[in-house]
Amino acid sequence: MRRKAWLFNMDKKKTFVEDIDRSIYDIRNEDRYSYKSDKGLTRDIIIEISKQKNEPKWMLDFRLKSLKTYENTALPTWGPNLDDLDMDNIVTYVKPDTKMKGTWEEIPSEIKDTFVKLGIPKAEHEYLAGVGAQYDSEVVYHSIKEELVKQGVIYSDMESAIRDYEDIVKEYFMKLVPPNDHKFVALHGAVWSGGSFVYVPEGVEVDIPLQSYFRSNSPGAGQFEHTLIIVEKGAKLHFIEGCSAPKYSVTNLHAGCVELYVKEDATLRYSTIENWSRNMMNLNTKRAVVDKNGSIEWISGSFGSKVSMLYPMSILKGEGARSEFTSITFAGKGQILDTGTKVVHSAPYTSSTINTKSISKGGGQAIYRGSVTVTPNAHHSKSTISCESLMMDDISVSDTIPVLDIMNDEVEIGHEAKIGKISDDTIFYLMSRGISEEEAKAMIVRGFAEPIAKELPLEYAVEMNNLIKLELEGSIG
Amino acid sequence: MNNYLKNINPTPVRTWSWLGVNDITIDDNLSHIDALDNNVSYQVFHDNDINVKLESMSDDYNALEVLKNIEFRGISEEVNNQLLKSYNSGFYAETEENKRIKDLIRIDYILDREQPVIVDNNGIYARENSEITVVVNYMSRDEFKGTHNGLFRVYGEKGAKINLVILQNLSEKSTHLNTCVANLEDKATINYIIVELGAKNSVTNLVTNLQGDESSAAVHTVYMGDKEKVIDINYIVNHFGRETKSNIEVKGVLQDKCKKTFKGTIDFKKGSAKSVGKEDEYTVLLSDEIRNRSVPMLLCREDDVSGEHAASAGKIDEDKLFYLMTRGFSKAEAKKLIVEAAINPIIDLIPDEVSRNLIYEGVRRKLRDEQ
Repeated sequence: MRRKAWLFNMDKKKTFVEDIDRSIYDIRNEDRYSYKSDKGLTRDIIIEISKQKNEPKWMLDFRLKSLKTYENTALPTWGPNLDDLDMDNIVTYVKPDTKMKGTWEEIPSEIKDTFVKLGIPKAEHEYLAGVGAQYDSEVVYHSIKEELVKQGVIYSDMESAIRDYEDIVKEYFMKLVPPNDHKFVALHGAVWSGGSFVYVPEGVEVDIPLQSYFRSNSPGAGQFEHTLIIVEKGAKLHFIEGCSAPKYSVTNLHAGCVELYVKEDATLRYSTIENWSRNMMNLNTKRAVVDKNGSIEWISGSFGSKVSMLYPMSILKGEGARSEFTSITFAGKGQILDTGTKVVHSAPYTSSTINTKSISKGGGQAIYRGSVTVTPNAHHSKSTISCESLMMDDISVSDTIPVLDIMNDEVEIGHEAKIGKISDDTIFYLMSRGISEEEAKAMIVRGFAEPIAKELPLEYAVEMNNLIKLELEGSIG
Repeated sequence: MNNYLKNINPTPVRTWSWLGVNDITIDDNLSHIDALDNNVSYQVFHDNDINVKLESMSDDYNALEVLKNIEFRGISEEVNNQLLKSYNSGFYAETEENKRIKDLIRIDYILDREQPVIVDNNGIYARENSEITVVVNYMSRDEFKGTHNGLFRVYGEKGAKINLVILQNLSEKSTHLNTCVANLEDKATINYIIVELGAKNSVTNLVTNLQGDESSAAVHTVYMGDKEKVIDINYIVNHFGRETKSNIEVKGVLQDKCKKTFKGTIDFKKGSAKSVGKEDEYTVLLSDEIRNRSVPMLLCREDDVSGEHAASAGKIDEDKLFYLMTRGFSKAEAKKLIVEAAINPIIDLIPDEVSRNLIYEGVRRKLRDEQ
């Protein structure tokens, strides 16, 4: 093996990193729409949006009430700076120039091509049970396998659900995440559009995943999809959410909302890869409530966006309920990814595990923000939290801000966090086996992300590994 | 004058407000005291030929300029103002270069009906390569409600070693506010041993600035909370220099309706390459009406560091309890033994025998009624 003189020189070497190759995501179609709301946020805009959607009156009233709440709520006093967000310049509703279709062939070619390039139709044939594709503010495509329809599984776009399943939707819509929760939920309540409604009846086990993909095309627009999933007693579902947007110089906003109801003995796995473009403000709110012996699994990969504030929350309401949270966050140049999770143990014998990994490089800021709360009646609760952070250079930031709030003594709660860089010893070891330094680092980072990769469906795992590889490739300085 | 000290002892970084950990509000206020005339004495115990300058705090000392320039956020502006402008007690200790003093200095602050308010402004200046050990006791002579507001400003020159032991066992109705800030030069070290047993409200704030390369800090803390006590602990170690080290170890016992919040921050600033920071917090829960909050924070702007923290809480291990009971101990006795085993290793570190024994006794009394 050729010896490299600098191997014996203990100076730390850094690899430069190139910006990830986003070209497949940066396709921009011509901004053609059948209706586009004015910029900003006024009563009239809301009324017009509701009219465009043909909504029942109760939804219009709900929207207007949320608008009031939005106006009366202050920005958070913690977390990343949101000064770049100028609501007066965000277009809240862009209706793409097509109605919703049932088959891919029917969708206008331009829109279809975008999704084809992103791999969606192919995935659907191969292994998904149903797909929803949202382009700007409306869902353009929805399909669901025959067998599932026979079993009574409902997978519909949110707007249709309001009309077709009004009673169920009205009972659950924004009850778990009410508009007064925080400012961007109130905004969502006023201008939400698109998203999916999923209902899995009692005892039905959906073997293959359902998927929704959100694509924002219009510059300066906001994405406000609402996902509502109800998994009835003993039922089982895996739902995958993917999202992206091309990069523009104006700031776009994503303030979506996900509400998950996991009933007794039911299981729901919710996987997401957030890969918004670097001009996106990602202020998403996700929450699950879990009944007796139910279980929620969150798998989450955060790669994109300029600023993210994302804290999926699990409320363990029933005895024996469980929550498992696994995530990876990769903050690169110019990004502030403030992510984490909140778990509330509000019943006895509940358990939760949190496993997060974060990587910061090139000046990126990765922040883990979490909380685990155990209420006074939640005896025999257990929670294990593990946060690991990898710093790739000395211009990046990695903060860990966890909180434990325990109000019962019959508990077992343990939290640990680690931060550091890739060990020099490990790199030298791999290099002594003939592996180049950059490949050694890539291997170590992939190993770091492996626990998340293995929980994702193959295609997403591959996408995630590609994202990591592209982020790390560079020349030795 | 307000009846409350509102939003005091803030964390360096804010998080969700509903968790109530960004700061705290306590139901007491800063009792008015008049200026320096009302000098409250403290008792000093040390070896006669100890080679250290030890005098009452006043605004005159030269080396005080360095201490005065140490910036600190502390518990609150109001609390700081009282400490700096209205102190009625305090000592100033200054070592000589290269003099390593093995004998300790013990200082007792005693609150009682006659002296219900002590605002002590203390300073320690350790010159190059010197060593000093100071044990400070805050005690009450009777059950009267006292108010204590204390400050320790510490400066360690190159290679200096400071051992600072702060033991608090005030009466059950008292309020204890304590602020410590230490700036360390290259290779200087500070070791804290802190025990909190008494007071109704105990609010402490400790900031260590590891400015110099290879400087280090260790904090070992034990606290016991019972009845309706409120404990708020805020420790921050700022790693500025290269190869700096920190180690924070906190062990606590919560009984009855005690409410405690521990905020421990290790902050690796850019440039603190090859530094190591560790934090470990363990809380034994002895009642189902407690509230136990922990915020172990790790902030990092430097890649070539190693930081780790761990926080855990739970009740006494059933297996250990069972084992001791099979050896003839009653359940109550077994519980006491296990709790003492958890916290004694830190109490054992107290270098002064008299103080140490007072603490053992204080712990025993707290556990006496525990079933």
